[in-house]
Amino acid sequence: MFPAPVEQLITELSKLPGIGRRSAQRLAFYLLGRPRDDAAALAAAIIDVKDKISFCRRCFNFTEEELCVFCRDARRDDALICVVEEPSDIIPIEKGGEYRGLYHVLGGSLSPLDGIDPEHLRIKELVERVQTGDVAEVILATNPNTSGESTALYIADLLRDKLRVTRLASGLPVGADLEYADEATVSRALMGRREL
Amino acid sequence: MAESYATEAIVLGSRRLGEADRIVDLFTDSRGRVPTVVKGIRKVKSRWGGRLEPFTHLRVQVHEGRNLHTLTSADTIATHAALRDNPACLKPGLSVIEMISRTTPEHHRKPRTYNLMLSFLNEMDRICLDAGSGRLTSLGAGSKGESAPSSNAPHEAAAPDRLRSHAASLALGAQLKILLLAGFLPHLLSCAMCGAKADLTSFSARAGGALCPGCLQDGFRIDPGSLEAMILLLERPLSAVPDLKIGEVQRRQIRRAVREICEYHLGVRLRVEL
Repeated sequence: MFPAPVEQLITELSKLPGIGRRSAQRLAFYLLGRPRDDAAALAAAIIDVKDKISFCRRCFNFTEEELCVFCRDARRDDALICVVEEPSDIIPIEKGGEYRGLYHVLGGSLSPLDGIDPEHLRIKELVERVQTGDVAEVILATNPNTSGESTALYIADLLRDKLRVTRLASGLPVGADLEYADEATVSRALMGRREL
Repeated sequence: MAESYATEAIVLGSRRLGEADRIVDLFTDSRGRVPTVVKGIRKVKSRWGGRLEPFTHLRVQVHEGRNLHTLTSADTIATHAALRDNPACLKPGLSVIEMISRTTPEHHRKPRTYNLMLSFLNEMDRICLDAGSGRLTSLGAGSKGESAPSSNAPHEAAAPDRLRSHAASLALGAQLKILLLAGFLPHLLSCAMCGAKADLTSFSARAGGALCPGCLQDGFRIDPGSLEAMILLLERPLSAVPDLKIGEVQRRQIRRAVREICEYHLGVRLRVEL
């Protein structure tokens, strides 16, 4: 229906997550309407990120150098490791401003239904890090869903005898009304209650 | 014209969709397995909260779309959280979910399989609670003076072997019953090839069940005890399964039989190990 280069662009864009063929068409026509420089800048940025960005040798966050910004920062507490599923999970923790330790990115969570087992994640590397470094506590910050919880339990079993293992609290979000909370969240909030 | 309908449903699983949505696989009472879009579920302040995690039993309102249906409301009937949060029960539970997800076509009503799944979830809850998992205790009880904050990890007591074996047997019982309801019950009382009733020593999915030494083809060796256990798992209600004495070797052989039936007859390769 469209000239071959446009079809090619639509096909490539529709490979992106959450982009169907219709959205890909809309994006393709938007790009066609932009000046050539804008398109060149986008193409260069994509190539640049693929050429320059790799995984941190220690924590597997994205980095331009051998170690990521957090692993290079001498002011951070290297006795604390926060374990997350994906590099994008680091952003909200950093925005919170409370945490000053290091990270470890697993690259996903255990999901037997999808064939993702422990050997597909960077769990072995975490255990090695804990054994070779001077780590006092591992904070498990996997997502509070079934696969995230099972990943946290699996890692806790591996590390419990070696150091302090903690889990992010889960329960009612700040600013929410208890009246509208679901049963699973209220149960978690009750289990994670604290003394005042 | 698109319309809404109300039904009971069990959550089988979900996959990400777009920025903050998910497609949740609902196993419904009235329409079988229905993949349903749930808007905004991944946001922290989503109104859906933890209602749409696997194993949750719900009353839902769904809007029919052209391709995918959309969830408009959900009220929890039972969370079955003990099962979800207990490592000894999670994999057996997921193995039954996988069996239903991968052997049940979409939009085909399966009321007996649905009721079987409900019974399975209730029995799993019961054995978890009997094992002392999922009960809220006083903050002071047992944990006073401990340095590590542990109260937020639910049901974290080490899973006893008994719970693990009961959960695995229950899952195998449910899987065999799902095969029975789907019309793929293996022949277990006599040789599937010649009909001999004694000395059944192997199992072949291709032959359709147990085999005697004379008819042995491409099957695997199976203990007579495993065949007896399969028959008991099929005959008895799920509530009686924890009382059956089924050993680890027998469970492994039954699991292999179930796996091979699914592969040969349904073209489905099961991934979840018990």
